[in-house]
Amino acid sequence: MESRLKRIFFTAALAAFPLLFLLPDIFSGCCAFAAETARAFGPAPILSPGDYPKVTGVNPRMFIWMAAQMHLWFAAFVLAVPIFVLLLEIAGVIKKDKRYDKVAYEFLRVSLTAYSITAITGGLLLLGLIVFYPDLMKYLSGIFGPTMLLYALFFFVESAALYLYYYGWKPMSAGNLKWAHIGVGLILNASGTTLMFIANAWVTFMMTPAGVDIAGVFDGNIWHAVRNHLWGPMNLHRFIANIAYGGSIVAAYAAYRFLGAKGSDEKAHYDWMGYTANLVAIGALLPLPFAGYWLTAEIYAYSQQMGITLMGGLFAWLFIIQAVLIGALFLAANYYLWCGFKRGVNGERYYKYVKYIAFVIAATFLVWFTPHTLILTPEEASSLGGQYHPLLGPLGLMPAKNIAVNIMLLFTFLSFLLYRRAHRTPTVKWARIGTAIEAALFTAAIANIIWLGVYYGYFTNSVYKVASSVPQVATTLFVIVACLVIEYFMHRKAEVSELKWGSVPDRSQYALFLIAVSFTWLMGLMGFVRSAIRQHWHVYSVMRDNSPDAFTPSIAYAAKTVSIGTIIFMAIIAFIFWLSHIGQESGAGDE
Amino acid sequence: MKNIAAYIIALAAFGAFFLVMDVFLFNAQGLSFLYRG
Repeated sequence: MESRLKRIFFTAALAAFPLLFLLPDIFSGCCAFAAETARAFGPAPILSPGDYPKVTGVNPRMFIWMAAQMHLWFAAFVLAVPIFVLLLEIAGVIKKDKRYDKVAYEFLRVSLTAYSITAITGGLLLLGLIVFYPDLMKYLSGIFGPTMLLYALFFFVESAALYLYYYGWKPMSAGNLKWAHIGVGLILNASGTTLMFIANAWVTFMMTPAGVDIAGVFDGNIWHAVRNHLWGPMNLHRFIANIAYGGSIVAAYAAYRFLGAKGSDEKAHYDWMGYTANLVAIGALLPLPFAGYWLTAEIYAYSQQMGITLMGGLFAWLFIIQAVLIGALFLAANYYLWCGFKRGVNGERYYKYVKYIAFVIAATFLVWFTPHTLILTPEEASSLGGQYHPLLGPLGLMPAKNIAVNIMLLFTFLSFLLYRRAHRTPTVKWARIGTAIEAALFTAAIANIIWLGVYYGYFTNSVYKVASSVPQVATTLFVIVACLVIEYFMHRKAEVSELKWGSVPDRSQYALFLIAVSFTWLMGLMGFVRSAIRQHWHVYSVMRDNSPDAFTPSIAYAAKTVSIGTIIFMAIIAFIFWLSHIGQESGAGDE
Repeated sequence: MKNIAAYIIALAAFGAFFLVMDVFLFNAQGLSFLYRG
């Protein structure tokens, strides 16, 4: 009876989750009706430099930039952690393994301090916007006012759910109360995600305004403004990216604790925690490029000029930096997996393959960040015979990069497959044949990816060039799914030895730090690009930015700003880790 | 020997599969698999 009740409650809670996502639609619809009947709207204000308030010694753009960036990093972290805390809690209940529950609770405790900092940076951002850009805020709140109230309401719901979720963890740890606790976790996640969706509407409206005419006169239906062109893709991209980001920060926390662990039990615990969080991070990273592809396609579809500014002009160089950072991230993820071979009894036998995988990943990494155009002096350009290098020039084009990225993904997956095999010995008779089939699958897939990229990328037109990336991605995804199915049947009755958690070398943990820093840096740099393609507009093509800061900063300036932001953020995160550590040592956080 | 045979057969099978998949995915995007200039 009790288990039946649990099932009913769990099913109802799961069914309620998507309904909670519909709440903003319902509320927006109500607000739209109220707004439509209430008032008429004026055009967007035309401002002069004198309309922007000044505060001596403070650069308004820098203030807003830093506050917004800090808020976004912390918000991404605190939105993501409850998602996999909930998943871990459910996994712990299903598998009846207390380890999941313990780690989930520890994840949540780490993120709790970050909540207050998220609220503080959010407050700073809001105050900065009101002080420095009052006319913009007046215009935006004239359109989005009802959603701002809705935001406050969901913030209240999220805070209440968070406290109940955290403080109720132990009192609600058994029987039906555990399922009620999971229900609270669902509400926490739904309200947090809804908050992000609402804020995304404001940001995306500034890039691709909808529901307004050319002069910025609002048509009165708030849903038109909310559901602008970039809202959907931005929601998806940020949702997935947050999970990857949250995973990487928690993995860095585990690495920090691993390095300072006193006993072998503690070391084993944090090794397992780091591995689990990193698996979540890399798992969420894999589909992220596809969400990014959708986002970029929508930017191009809305304004080709904005799209070309994004990828074909000055900002293209930031995509090269992006490639370097993501490449470093993949190298670090692979390195972490290779170090992890040591946890399994069979791990030694796979070390011989590492050098080949490392070679392929390094080679694809080099192709990925080869720029198309080079910064050259007139003499250099003249001796080269033009702006493009005859050999390396073709590697700067997207087809070469698509080949490189797909192969890099496949070889990272191969590292993961070898890692899984490090503590499994198959007992089925067809194990060797199964491995041969997997090898054939990899060979055929790589041949297909290369042939699609080379032929359609260099010997046909642009339409075919872009279209060929779809079967390339499909090939990679097919290999991942097919290999996992083969591996499942091959290792279903395998001899599984206990993984030796805590046996990995200390140096492996620095890979986890590198992944967290790369993610943070990437978000800052690419977030700047996304925002800066509006150029001299507050609201693209509707409300012009006439402040003294209405110019696009140089890439060096932007890179330095984001780098300083990254250092500040990581310093605060280190402080939070330390706080969490001393809190646990004194027992304040546990009970 | 068995493994090599399995490898070659699987290679041919997956090669054919990917070719069919390519044709299908180009068609789904309104393009013919064969580029005619």
